[in-house]
Formats: sequence, structure tokens, C-alpha cells
Amino acid sequence: MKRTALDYTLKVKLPITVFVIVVTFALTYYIARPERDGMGYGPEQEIKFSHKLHAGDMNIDCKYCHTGVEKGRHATIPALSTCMNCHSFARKDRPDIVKLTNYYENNLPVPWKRVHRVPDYAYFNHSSHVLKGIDCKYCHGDVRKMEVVQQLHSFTMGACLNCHRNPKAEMKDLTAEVKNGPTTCYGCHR
Amino acid sequence: MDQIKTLWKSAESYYDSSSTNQVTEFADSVTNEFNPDTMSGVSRRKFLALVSAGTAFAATACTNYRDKKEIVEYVNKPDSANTGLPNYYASTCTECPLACGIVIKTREGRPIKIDGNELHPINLGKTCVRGQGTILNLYDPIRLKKPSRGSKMLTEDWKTIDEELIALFKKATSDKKEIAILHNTIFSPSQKAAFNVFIAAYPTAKLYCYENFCDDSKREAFALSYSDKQSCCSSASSIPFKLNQAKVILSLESDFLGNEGHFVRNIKQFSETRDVNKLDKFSRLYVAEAGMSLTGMNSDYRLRLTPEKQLDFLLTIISAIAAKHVSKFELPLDFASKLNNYNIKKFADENGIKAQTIDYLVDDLIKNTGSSCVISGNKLPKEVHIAANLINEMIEAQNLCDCEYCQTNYCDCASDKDLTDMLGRAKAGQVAAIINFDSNPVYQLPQEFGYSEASSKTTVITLSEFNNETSSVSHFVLPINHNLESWGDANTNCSVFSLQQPVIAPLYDTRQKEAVLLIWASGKADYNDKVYLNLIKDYWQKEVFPKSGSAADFDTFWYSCLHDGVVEIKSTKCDTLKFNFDALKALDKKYEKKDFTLLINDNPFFGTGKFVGNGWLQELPHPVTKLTWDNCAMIAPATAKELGVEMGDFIEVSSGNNKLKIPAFHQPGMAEKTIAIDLGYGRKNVGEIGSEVGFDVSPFISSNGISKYIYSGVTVVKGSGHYKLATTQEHHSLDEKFVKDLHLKRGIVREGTVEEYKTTPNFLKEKFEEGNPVSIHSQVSYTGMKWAMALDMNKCVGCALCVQSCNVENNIPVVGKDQVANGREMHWMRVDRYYSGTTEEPIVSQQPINCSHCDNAPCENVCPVVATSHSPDGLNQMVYNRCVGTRYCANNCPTKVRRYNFFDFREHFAQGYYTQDSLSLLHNPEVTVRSRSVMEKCTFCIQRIMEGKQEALKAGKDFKGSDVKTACQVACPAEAISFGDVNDPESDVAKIRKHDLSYSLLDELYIKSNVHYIARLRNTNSEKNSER
Repeated sequence: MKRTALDYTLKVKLPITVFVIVVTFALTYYIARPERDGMGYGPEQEIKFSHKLHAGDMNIDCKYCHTGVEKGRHATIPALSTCMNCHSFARKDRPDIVKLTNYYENNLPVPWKRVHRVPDYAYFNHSSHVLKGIDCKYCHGDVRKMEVVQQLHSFTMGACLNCHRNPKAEMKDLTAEVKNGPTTCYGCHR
Repeated sequence: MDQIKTLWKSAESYYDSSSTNQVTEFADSVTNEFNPDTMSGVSRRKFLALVSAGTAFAATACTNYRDKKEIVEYVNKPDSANTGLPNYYASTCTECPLACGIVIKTREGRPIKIDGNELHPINLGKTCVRGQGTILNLYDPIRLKKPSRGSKMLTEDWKTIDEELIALFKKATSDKKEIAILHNTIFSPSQKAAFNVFIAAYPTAKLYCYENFCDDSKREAFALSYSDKQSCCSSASSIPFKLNQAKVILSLESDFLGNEGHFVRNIKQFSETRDVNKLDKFSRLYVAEAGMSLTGMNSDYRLRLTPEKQLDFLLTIISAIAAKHVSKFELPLDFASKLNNYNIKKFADENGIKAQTIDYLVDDLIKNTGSSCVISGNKLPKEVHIAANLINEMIEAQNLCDCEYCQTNYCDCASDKDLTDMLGRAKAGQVAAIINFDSNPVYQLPQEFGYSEASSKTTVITLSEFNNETSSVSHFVLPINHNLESWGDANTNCSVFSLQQPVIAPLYDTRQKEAVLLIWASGKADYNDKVYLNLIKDYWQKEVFPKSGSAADFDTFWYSCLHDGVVEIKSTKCDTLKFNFDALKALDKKYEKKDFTLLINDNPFFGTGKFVGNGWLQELPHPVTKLTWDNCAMIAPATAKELGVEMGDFIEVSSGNNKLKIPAFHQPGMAEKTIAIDLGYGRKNVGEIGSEVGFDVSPFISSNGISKYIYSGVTVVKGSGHYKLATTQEHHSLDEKFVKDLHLKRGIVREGTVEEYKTTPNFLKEKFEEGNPVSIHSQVSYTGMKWAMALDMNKCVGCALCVQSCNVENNIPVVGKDQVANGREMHWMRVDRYYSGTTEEPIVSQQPINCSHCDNAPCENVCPVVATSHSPDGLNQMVYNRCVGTRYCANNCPTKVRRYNFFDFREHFAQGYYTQDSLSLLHNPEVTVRSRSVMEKCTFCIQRIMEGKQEALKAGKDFKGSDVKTACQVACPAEAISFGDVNDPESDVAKIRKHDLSYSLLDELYIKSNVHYIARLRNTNSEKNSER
């Protein structure tokens, strides 16, 4: 039988095209996965606040600023008055502290860029994790070493469930006794 | 081949090739300009592809897609403000004169939920649907935002208006012209003090108090019956009864469980006497009424009696009690002799009532002397109240009197004459100004008073939250703070003082209404929002603090009151009241039933119409008719048949000069030739939601009736046309064989009598033999916690408070009348109402239904995307993100509790009315706002379960089922709802499951429901239901 152009298209051109598309898609999907999950995202902040300096070198407890973390769902960003507890006296001449003081004196909030975010339909609760003895670093990375805070771990449902199903494997150096977290829908969604 | 002409129009052109070739299809001018060769090579398709790709790339390149927005923090964080955690404030609801103590839950500084204050001795931790719904009014976008002038509503600033009005008042004082203040009932001593300050500054000012629906006649009768009274109850209309101690209650046209007296307290106390575990205290409720009320629906015996016959009925009872000579109470001889004309047999025959029922009633009243009482409805004329007071004396009902809690009154209602005189003077130009102090006289006063004419001859100043009928005839419209933005206090009963505190700063340029008066009184237009607070503090320091006997200093006392919201002070014990026999002279009056009788009812949700703009309340099904978004003329089915009126057909009601065309609603249990219409509808100028909803019956209110709310000799004829009524429950035809008593046959509603239960405690289990169903699935065993609910049908009265509480807690959208008519209302909880028996004497059963979280949930099997599944603690979970909206689950749900978002209802309803900015503050942030095309249903308040868990963790305690209270459970005034861990044998739900009277719905389907009901017992005598 005579080979037609249609045969060629169906037998060669089409499979190659489909293969290329599928491979490209799959590669892009996996390579871009961390990017899509926001991993490695560390925006420049309005004021160059260093967690390395405060939490790392000076060893200030996370809870000194993030007061809500043991009380409820939100860890909360500290009020400017918390910063001014020290910076009314300390390092008043540094340009970023001058900026901070300006914000405070004009009664304006600093527009901090959000780094970590769980979608609205997932009701994550900081207090029930922290009170069980789970350290901040298991989700947020070792912030004590970060000059600019960036997201290290994925904040997807899969990431949550990995830990909920097998906390010991995910948090190897965890000292507290923890049970498996809930893996039921209403555990996070309502 | 090519030469063959393909186109031809006529034979001529077919044969003549030359002519055909010259034919051009289009005019030259068109085709010549269009030359494809000169066009660019880019095809249309390619162009579009490039544009869209370009847009997509530009969009990606120009946005930081990883940007997660900003977090805004406090600059100075108040200590109590913890993001994500609620704060609770005790306050007082001032939406009606009952002034319930409330607790307001706020999140991030905005009120999101209101419940009753448990410390309040009167409302006992519960509050009504209006109180709960008032937060929707707070955020209502149509609230008045700025002061304005004239009918064109030109906005002005407060200072200019203040200065102008102060000048006006000063001139009025010097000219000796009256300043009339129209206001509703005063229940706040500080408000009264503010009025006094104003009157002291402008001595020509005069107060006129009025209520659209009030208990005037009852008050008058009380004054006549007991002339020597203690100061405490001197202005009361009656002394409330301790219903929790009553054994027999006779209610006369009184909806004391629906909207009369302190109905929330009444429900709570009444339901205490309907406890199946305390059968010796089980009360019996007799109701004699013409209209069908919530109280009538809960009665053990109901007598259909037109209001004209109420007096005769009571006299018959008096004569029967007197004839038995058991009462220590001696009737005067002349009165006793008159009673000889009355006897039960005669009365029963004349009125088509079973004599036996009245015999039972009389026996019960005598047998339970000292623990029975008669409650007469506010609607009835004063003679009936006097007769009721007399019976209460004869059966020693004063034993049940709760005189410490009788209603105090800071201001007597102005008589009709006072008001007409004042308006007459206004028409003559004698009144300098009329101040409508949060009142709406154009709607509320009878038209014959001529308020509208008077308003053009004087300066009308209206203080109001919303536009209303009066604001459109006002010269100045001044916006006032909402209840939740205001300071205030209340003293509704001699021994209880409560405080109201603002929980949110005023959203708009509004002012505290009392402060406005105080500023005017000060004569200087400098506003200071503390001015009224200072007055309240002064009053409390001078009056309340000394009486409280508090050992602390005033500041400590003040802050502890503010914390608790209420303070109870020792009041003097009331003396026994002595009945004044002179009052009996009034009982000679006779009423004749002529033609139709019209009953005007106080709407259980709207009251006098202030709340018509509240979508939640509009959509809450009326407890009796299950009607939403309308009122109607309730009419007995037999009477409707005579008139040839179908459900929804218009009827024309006329009395005197008044005429009303209103749709008829066949209501089983109505007395014949009687129609009942709810007040508070048909409002105008109240915004998109409330305007022109329903029909206004208020023009009928006049002084020519049997009382202000009962009119005899009304003509009713069939009108033309039909009206679509949106009910949430279809009427089962009582005559149709297939559906008649289906709910009883299928065991959906299971009932018995107290007698039956006493003799055979497990009669219910015998009656409904349980089969032995099997499931094709393996059964999951729940070893940890397992959530379950139980509802006691003996306690439930069907007030719909649970529905409203659920609406507020769970962000339930308002869908509108058209959607309710399509059966698309979104309420997660509903109260089903069933009739059995005849249309004349129906037996009513009610049953609240929410998702049963069945162990073998039929909805779960059919979901193609596993959007609904079961949790290990026994909850049927609904995950909105997974749901694709097939609605298979709803179709397979045997209790029909799943609700589908056919639209984004917030967008869909009234052109997105409830999507306006201020309303986003209303939502409970712990509950997802559902979008279009997802299914939703009761979650057993999962947000509260999670909060309970978190609190237990914080406190380092074990989490117990009793730590969680669902929204409906908290709101239920009857305490009919229990919730908890059924695997905990100590929990209420576990105990109820084991109860002899417990049953769950549709066991034969083996759904293993987790909502159990305690079957209702009717406290009737030993005769069978069918003989009642």
C-alpha cells in the first residue's frame, strides 16, 4: 500500500510531538515544584531585620517577639512597640533603626513582606504544635542562621501529611514525645 | 467543465454566458477596497495567538508571582488584642425593652457572635433571634453614615446642625413653645436621667412614650385588680410566674413561648417542667386561642376559641371553680349570683368544644391550687385580664409569682389622647420641634393621628440608625450609634441592673443618641463621646452602688459590673397583693362575634418592624407557618374553603375605612371565621432588603376594636389574583390518604403520653420494633472520642433560636425569597413541623433536624471525588475544596440536610448586597465562606471542637466531650440540645442513648445516625389521642 502523508503524521510526527510535550511538562513540573511551593523565597524586607543577629547571636527567644505562637493559631508579627522596647535605647543611630523609629513615631506599621503562608482553607494552628514541643525549625528552617528569612520547606498538604503520618522520621532530632498528627480532613479544613 | 456556469439566477442568465460573467455578487465599492494581496501576512489566528501569549508573558513578568502580600502588625498592641483569639464582652442588648444580658464575641475587634449572659438572672444565658441577629444590622451597608438635612438628605456636619438646633431650642424656650420627644419604652435609668437633663435645660420639652405593640390593656387591668401595690410592681402589667414550678398552665391567646413577656425566660422555665426524668413535675399546658401560636403548638390541650368568647370562657371556669367550694377565696355575693348563668356544658355546646376538656381543666386547676396559673395574652381586652387575675386569685397562683422580677417602667405610655393633642398643637404651629428619639412614628402611630400633616408645621428631628418612614418627612436626620457601639444601662426589674458597653468604635460618623441630647442641653456644640458615659457612671455611683452593698470602692464595683455586665441588688420583698373586687364590675361587658375576627399579632422575629432590613430574620422560617420573606393572613382551611380561597390567593380584609389585600394562608388549628396577620411588614423607605416586604396591617390599629389588636365585624372577601408564598416546609395535605400521618407511621416522629410511659416505660421500643439490618460494608469501630448530639423533644418548643445561632456562627448566606421558593435555603439546621389529626384540631409535632453524621453515611458512598468522608471521631466531614458539585450526596441523604450553593449566594442575592465592604467584617473567620457549586452542611461546629482541643492543650488538661458546646446548643433556651462524646459513659448524650424514650431517625436504613431524639410525651389524660 502506498504510504501517504497521513501515515507519516500518525506514525512518526504525532508520537514524537506527544512525547516531547509530556516529557517537557513532567520535567517542568518536577523541576519547578519547589519554586511553585515557594521554597527558597526570601524577599528583601523594608527594614533589614536580621534573625541571625537577634535570634542567633543574641539568642533572643522566638516567643519574645512572636507572642501568639503559644496562644492561638497565629504566631503573630510583633507590634512595633516590642521592637522599641530595646531600640528606644539600642543602636538608635543605625539607618534602619531610624527608619523603624520613624514608623513608630508616625504610628504606621512596617509593611513586612510575608514569607510563609498556608492557604486560607487550611486552619493551621501554631499553638497546638509548639505546645507539643515541636520546634519552629521543623517548618521554618533554622531561622537563627538566616540573615534574610526565606522559606526552606514546602508548605503543601503533602508536606503537612508526611509529618503527621510519621513525625519521628521527619523530625529526627525531636526530643518531645509526639503522637501522629491527625490525617483526617477536619483536622485542618472546616 | 470549467465553462459551466455554476451560478444562475434566471433562465436568461443561464443561457447567456456573457451576462452571467458580468454578474458581480457585491457592489464594486465594497469588493474593490478589499484586496487580500495588500494585507499583511499575519493571519487572524496568529495575531490572536501572539496577543494572548504576549499578555500572558507580560502578566507573568510584571508580577512577582511568589509575592505573598504584606503582614500588617500593630504599632502599639493592646494587651487584650491577640490576633486569632476571640475576646468576650458582657453587655446588654437594647433592641427591645426586655434588655437581655448578652455576651459579645469579638475577633480582631469586631463583633461576630452574640449569646446570652449566663450571669444575668432574667434571661439566664439565652437571648432571642433578634438579639443574635443584631450584628447584621451593625454592618448593614445602608446604615445612616452622616447627619443630613431635609427630605433630599443633604449631608451636613454635626457642628452646624448642633448649633442650629440649640438656637432653635433656645428660641422655643423663650417663646414657651413645646419641644416634643417621641420615644419608645425607657428601660434605662441613665437614659431617663439624660432626658431629665434635657428637660431641665429646655423646660418646654415633653416626653411622649409609645409602643406599637404594648400590653396597655393588661397593665390597666392589673392596676384595677390590685389597687394597693408595692412600688416595685406598681407599673407592671402583671407579675411573672415561676413557670418552672407550675404544674398546670392555662394560656389565653398568649404566645408566652413565642413573643410575649420575657419569652426566652419563659421557654427556659417551661422546658424545665417537661423533663422525662422528673415525671412528678411534668406540667400540663392548656391553650385557649383563636390564632395558631407557638404556645398553642406545644399545648397538651388546645381549645379553639375566638377572642370574643374568652370572657365567657373564663366566667364559666370561675363559676365551675366556685361551685366546687374548694377555694379559700370568697367571691362577693352579687358577683357569685351572676355566675349562675354559666355552666360548662352550655358553653361547650355553644362553642363546639368538648365539655370534657373544660372539665379536665377545671379539675386540674383545683387539684393543683398553688401550682397552677392562668396567663392572658397582651392582645386581649382588659376585662379578660381582670377575670384571669381573679382565677389566679382563686387558684392561689400568687404562690408562683416571681414578684422580684416584675417589669419596672420608667415612663408610662402616652395615651392616644396625649399624642393626638400634641399633634393637634403641632398642626396649629404650637410645637417648635418634634424629636423622634430612635422611634418611627409615621409607621408606628395610627394614621388617623395625622403625624404626617403635623410634620410640615414644625421642625422634625429624627435620630435613627436607618432611614425609615419618618426620616423621609424629617427636617434633620441624625445617625446614631448601633447597640454594639453604645454605652448604656438597663434596669428592667427592680433587682437587676445591667450595663451596656461598646465593643467596636462607631463605624461611621454617628453619635450616641443620649449624648446628642446632652450636648444640646449643654448649649454648646462641642461633642464629647464621654459625656453620656460620665452620666451613667454618676447615676451608678449615686443610685446603684449604695444599694449593691458592695464592700469595695466605686471604681472596683464599676469595673466588676462592667466585667459581669449585670449586678443584682437586694430588693424589698413584695407584699401579697390584695384583689380589688370593684374591678369585677367591668366583667359585665359582652362581646358578640360578628362576621370575621381580625387578630393582629406581634411578629416573633421583627417585633414592630425595626428588623425588617435584616436578611437573616427575613429568611428565618416563621415558627408556625414556616413562611419566609412575607406575612400572610392565617385562615382556617374550612373557612377558606367556604370563601373559595386557595393557599396564596388574595383576600380583601376590610374594617371601617381600612382595606388590605393580602394572601391567605391555610393554617390548621385556626378558629373559624378568624384571620390572624403579623405586624411589622410592608415597610417603606428601609432599603433594598426590607422595603415592601409583606403587607402592612398597622393601619387597622385603632381604638374601635375589642382591643387594639382584635377587631370583630371585619369583612373578608376573596380578592383577585394569586401571590407566591415561600415556605420552607410544604403542607402535607391532612386529608390525603398517602401522606396523612406519614411521619408517625414511619417513626420519624415518635410520641406517647405520660400515662403510657408511666405504665410501660419501654412502650416506644415495643411499638417500633427494631429490625436487624445488615450492611454490605464492614463496620468501623470508634474507640476514641465519638461526637454525637441528642435532642429532647419534650423540651424543644420550636422557637428557631438554634437555626439563627447556627446562621451567625457558620456564615450561612441569605438566599432571597425566590431561592427559598425553589427549596434552596441554606440553613444547616431546620425545625420540621408536622400536623396530625384534623385540620380543625391538629396535633403538632416539631423536630429540629441537622446533619446526623451517620456512621453508615449514605452520602459518603456516592461522592465520586471523596469530598465527604468520615473522621475517626465520628464526624461526617465535608471538604469544600474537593467538592465538584455533583449533588449525588444530597440526593442520597435520607434526612435532606445537605445544602448546595447553586450560586455564590452572596453575589446572587439582591445584586451582591451582602458582598459590600462593611459586611466582610461580619463573617466568622474560623469558618470557610463557601463559594458557588459546593455542597455544605452541619459540621457539628468543628471550629468549636478544634478550639476546645486547643484550649485543653493550653491548659494541659485531657480533652473531654463536655468541653465543646455547639452554637445551637448554646442558644437553645430550652436546653433541649446535648452534645458530647458518646463513648464517654458519663456524658449526657451517652445517657440519652440508653434512655427508654430515645430513638434515631430511619434506623431501618441502617444509617446509624448520631443524632438521637427523646420522644415527646404529651401530658394528656388517659383518653386516646384520637378522642382529644
